[in-house]
Amino acid sequence: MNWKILVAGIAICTPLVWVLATGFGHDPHAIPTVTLGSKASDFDLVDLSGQRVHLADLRGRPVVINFWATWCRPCVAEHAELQAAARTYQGRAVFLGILYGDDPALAREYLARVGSVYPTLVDPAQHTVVDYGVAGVPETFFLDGQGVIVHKVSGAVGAAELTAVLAELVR
Amino acid sequence: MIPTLGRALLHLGLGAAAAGMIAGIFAGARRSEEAASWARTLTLASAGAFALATLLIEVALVRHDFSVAYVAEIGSASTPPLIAAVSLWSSLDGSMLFWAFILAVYAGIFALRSRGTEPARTGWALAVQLAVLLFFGLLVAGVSAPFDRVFPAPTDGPGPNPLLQNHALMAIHPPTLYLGYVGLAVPFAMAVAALATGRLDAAWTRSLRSWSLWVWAFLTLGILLGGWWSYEVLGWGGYWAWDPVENASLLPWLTFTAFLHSLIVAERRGRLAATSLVLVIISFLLTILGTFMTRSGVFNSVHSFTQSPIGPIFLGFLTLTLVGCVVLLAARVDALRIEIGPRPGSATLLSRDSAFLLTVLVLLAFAATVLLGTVYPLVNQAITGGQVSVGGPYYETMTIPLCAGLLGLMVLGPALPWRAATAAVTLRQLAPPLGVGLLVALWAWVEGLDRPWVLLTLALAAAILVVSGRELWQLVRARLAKGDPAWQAPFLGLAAAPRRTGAHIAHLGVVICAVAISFSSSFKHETELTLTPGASTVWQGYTLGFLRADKLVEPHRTSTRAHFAVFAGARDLGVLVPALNLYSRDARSIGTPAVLHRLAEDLYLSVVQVDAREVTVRAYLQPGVSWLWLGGLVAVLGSLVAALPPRRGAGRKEVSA
Amino acid sequence: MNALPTVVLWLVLGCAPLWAQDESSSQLPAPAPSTALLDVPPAGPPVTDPAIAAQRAGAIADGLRCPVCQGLSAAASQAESAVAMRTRAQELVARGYSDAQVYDYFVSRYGEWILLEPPRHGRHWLVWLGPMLLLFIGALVVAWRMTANTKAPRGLCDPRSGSDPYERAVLDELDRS
Repeated sequence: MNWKILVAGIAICTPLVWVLATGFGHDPHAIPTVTLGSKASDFDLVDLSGQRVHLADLRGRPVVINFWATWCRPCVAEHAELQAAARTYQGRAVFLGILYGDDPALAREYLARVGSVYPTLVDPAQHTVVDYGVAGVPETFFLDGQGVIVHKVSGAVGAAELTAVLAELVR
Repeated sequence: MIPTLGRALLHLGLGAAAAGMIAGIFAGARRSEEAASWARTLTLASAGAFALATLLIEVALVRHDFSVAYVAEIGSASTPPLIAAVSLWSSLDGSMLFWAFILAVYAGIFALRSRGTEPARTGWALAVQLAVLLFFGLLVAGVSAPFDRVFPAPTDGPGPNPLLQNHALMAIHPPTLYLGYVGLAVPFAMAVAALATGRLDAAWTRSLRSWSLWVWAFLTLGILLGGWWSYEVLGWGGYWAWDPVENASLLPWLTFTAFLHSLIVAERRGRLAATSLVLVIISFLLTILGTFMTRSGVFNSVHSFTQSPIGPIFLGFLTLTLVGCVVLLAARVDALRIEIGPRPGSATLLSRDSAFLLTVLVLLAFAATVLLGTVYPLVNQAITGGQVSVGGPYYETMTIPLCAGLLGLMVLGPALPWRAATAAVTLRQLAPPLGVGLLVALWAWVEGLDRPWVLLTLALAAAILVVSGRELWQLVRARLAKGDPAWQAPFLGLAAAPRRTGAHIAHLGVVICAVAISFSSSFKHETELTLTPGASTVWQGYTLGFLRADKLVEPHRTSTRAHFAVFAGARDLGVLVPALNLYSRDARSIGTPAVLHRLAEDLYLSVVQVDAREVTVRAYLQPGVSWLWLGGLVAVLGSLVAALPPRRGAGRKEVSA
Repeated sequence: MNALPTVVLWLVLGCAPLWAQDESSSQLPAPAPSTALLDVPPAGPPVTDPAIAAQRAGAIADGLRCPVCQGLSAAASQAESAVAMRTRAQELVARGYSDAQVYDYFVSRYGEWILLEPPRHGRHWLVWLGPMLLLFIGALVVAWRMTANTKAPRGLCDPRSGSDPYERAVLDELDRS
């Protein structure tokens, strides 16, 4: 029995198998979030009806920022939940939508059809998209009263999660 | 009916494989000819069962029999028959069955060809192949279960993945790759048999080499077709993305190429025989690792499937095989009697021995680099919890010097003599190729080419051409010296030494590929153009005129096509039609690029956006890509030539390299 | 002894990755903790020529990955986020930020993962130096095996050790062919 080969073989194979095993349970396609706990980037954008919105002016209340697009199916699906939450927390939290990779005319048409209780902002050069580290849509950011990002959801956000996070924030 | 029959065939195949494996182990342990004969028969039975099962599922796919689980998952009434047949390997369950089918067929062919050979070795080799077949067969019968019955049978299905319906290459890339990938099981089984019986002789080595050259040819062709598919179908303008699944196919190719070279040293100098067997075993282990990487859903890849129970099962199989191979090597390598080649002698640093040794080392380092890069995101996540990407730039930085080293070794190896080279001999052998290389590089530099790596590649390519040409010329000259007529001498000379000829042809292919890759990555041009119908623009010497956009409606997809008239100066080069395909299954469109293949460069158009008013298209100019495919085919041809037996009547038996 | 030149040769070649950089790629620095880049002043003067800004932005985008695609760079991808990243990079370059600062910004927004290769500092030494280390160890093993063979005598008689010079000459000739 050649002990050198045995030891060398086990020494090489064990870390390899261990590393591969640790991969289970992690989604390799998941987008990491590094901005949690840091100050959200400021923006000064115009919404679909021409009103100017400046994030720094909204200090003092929690803010929910939802990046969406009309061609994105999960965005359409989560629209109702966001509208309901916006109505529930009216006055206590600010909801904003930001259009991602879409034509403002299409967005206006869509919102005229389904309605919206909060404004959707247009980001012409999509700088805010990059500032928030948005990879795809939908993505929803939850900011506390001081403008710090406390929670982020990639993908459609459900009513339960919205309620849970907002209840925490408005306290 | 088909589900029941299919399941029955799978069970039959499994039963025959299990019985055959036991017979093979018996034949190996007791050297029993009768047991070996049983093992052969059972292997053939198993192969037949798996072949029939595969045929059955193809029938189900083409006839849209939705009572079969796999067809319900992946078929649809509107899928054309050819695409339906090809969709066998478009999803996990079917591709596992395909894996088992090819493995079984290879085992069957091995069984047929092993009549009359020594029973112990045949027994072990068959037992190993059947053990692997047993694993895959159990996966298919138990976990994947493509033959499950769906009741009530639906009337339609979602159809195969749209990306896999876009191009004819889907029909040939996976089977070719599988023929190489899965085929590695045969040399692996033969290496294990040699270790188990404790003997490696000339007959077994000849058989091993013959199988290996065929498997290598298929593997190379499979990887080549994969690159071509990425280029022609995916529309991102490249042919290799260093995707984990692409790396999974490259890893065994690298170690197997190292094996082919170490085998030459074993036969010629009596060294590296045990190393050769180790390399074969490593190559197959990398195949299993690669299959795990592709199917476990653990790696971030274009090809990846979602995580399922198959991942841990595969990891378990991989661990078992790894441990088994390590133990086998540790226990049997010292007792291995090597009966090929002379007794090992010493060699100096400057010799062909050294060059071959370095070749094996560099190829292994290349493989280790690719493996490390592919696995590193997992390592980082396991240690720190964070995510990191390892993409093209990393691999290019790490592998370009290694490739340059390999090209240099392709000059040194054939030029230097075995055992020891004196300074005088070295100078005489290396001066002409290096001189020519230097001249070529200088000429290119004067012509305006100033990229250092490209110049180095050109210089080494020219040097390799001189060295290989000289070697082949020696063979022809020997025939001329014997008095053969000039028009016959080349054929006779080369046919008398197919291994050497094939090796140099393969080197030639590799050189063409190296130059093509070097040019296509260094001198690529790209731009984005927006045109209205009737408008045209001039770019890089080409005039592109947007003629019109139209829609082609087919049962399974709607194509929005953009027609472009292409001119090079005044010369009409035809019409290119890139398109965006919308499949009934998905909401987003998949682009199909249009490529104009020319001798020196490719004009490549990929649609970004198209409607009746205007089209936005990405145009690429890629020099040398056609030469990449050509070079790859030449390398494959070289491998097949090397597998030919030497022409009888040549007098002596051919001595390798 | 023969091992030393081998070792030196491979040390030199092993350092290749460190000097084998494409001229257009930039050094990727260690990522700074999450600070908005826009609070930091630009390192250089604004770039007024849009062609130069576009070229620099393209080179930077070559080193960033598209967040939603597998394995594509932000320069090659058509996804909305990749396009947004390219535009943002060009805007920052035009304002005078250096390549290092722009990379730093993207890392603060997306994480280290947005870079197409791991940063060449800190705990990523394993993936950058690992292959070189393996090559070096491999070269040592090769050198050791080659010299070990000359030392260890073979049990049976070596025809080369025989006294017949003609036989030795024939064997030498065979080896040279």
